[in-house]
Amino acid sequence: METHDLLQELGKETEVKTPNPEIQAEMSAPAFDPNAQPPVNEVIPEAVQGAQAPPVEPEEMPIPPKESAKLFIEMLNGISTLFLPGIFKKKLTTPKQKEILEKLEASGKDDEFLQEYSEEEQRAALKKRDLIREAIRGVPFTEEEKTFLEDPLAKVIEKHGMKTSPEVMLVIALLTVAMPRVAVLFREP
Amino acid sequence: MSERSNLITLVVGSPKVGKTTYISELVKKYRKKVLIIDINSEKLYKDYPVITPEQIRTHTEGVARIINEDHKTVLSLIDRYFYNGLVVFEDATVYAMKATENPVKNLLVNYRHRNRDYIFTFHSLRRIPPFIFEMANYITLFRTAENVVESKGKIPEFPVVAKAFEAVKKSKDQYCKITVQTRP
Repeated sequence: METHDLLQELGKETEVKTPNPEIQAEMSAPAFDPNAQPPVNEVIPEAVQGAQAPPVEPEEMPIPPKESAKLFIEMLNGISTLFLPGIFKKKLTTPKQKEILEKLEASGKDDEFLQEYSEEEQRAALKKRDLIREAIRGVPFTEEEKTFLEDPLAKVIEKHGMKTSPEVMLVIALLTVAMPRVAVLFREP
Repeated sequence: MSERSNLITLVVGSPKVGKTTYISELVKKYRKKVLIIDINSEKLYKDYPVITPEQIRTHTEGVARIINEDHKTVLSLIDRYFYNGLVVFEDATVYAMKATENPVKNLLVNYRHRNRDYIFTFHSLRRIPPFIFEMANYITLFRTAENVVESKGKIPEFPVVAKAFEAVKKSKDQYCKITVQTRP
């Protein structure tokens, strides 16, 4: 069986081909600028006819990386604000502490001890509740944090050529706006 | 050094057998410009700049990649403006449509007139459409999970390909590959 070395094959020279003058002119034309204004009295050529016309479809206008970054940060903020409080409550308390806190909340007497639990148990539950409240207060991003995240995220988006269409951005924006309203459903009574 | 003809190469193998590593070696050693249709955003290509379809027109040297789902437009722009270089079609299964409505067909017709080489990658021989097989000069076979006989009817030089396929299959090296010529 004869095998071949592609590295060697592709390393050999090939005959250089030159595009025809029309295509050469197009290739050396400046890049398309969507904001450029046509010069006054410019003669707009008729559409190129026949098989040579490239089937170029209208170019989609991507959202600038910085705008995408802002919206993604808002969305992340919304998701954190929606879900993290519930997770804190679930993960940071034992079932018994949860029970104590629910009973205290129902009785409206934070400063009185319930008969059925020891003082020590109730103190631990209240301490945990304060810790959770503090953690929840720290969940939403501050304006400084958002600004701090914006540039690095925009650079990542730009580097990886991540393009977000206006439609996707609209969906993200709508979800971000709707999230605080939906959050009501997840709150415990 | 004598000049060679332009080449169409198919690189076939299951995921994680070394196809992209191999192609990135070829890309590094290639003497002219390269354009990678990087539909999976491969890590090995991350250092190459991403260009827009519009920039195919002005891409004159070095390696660039395109991440764009509008394959029809990308392929049409390559066909019109890409001369003297190599185009790599990563995971080319997406182009495996009917030949009559396929923009790859034009690329295959014009490649020599435009001095282009092509590399198409596929996950199995089964997924390669006959019109691409017909045009291929070389097939580099990595390990795949299939029965080569199922594709017998569409593979040119089938005995040569089948022999290479079995040799790769028997190899204990999971990154084993063999390149065979299917068209001069």
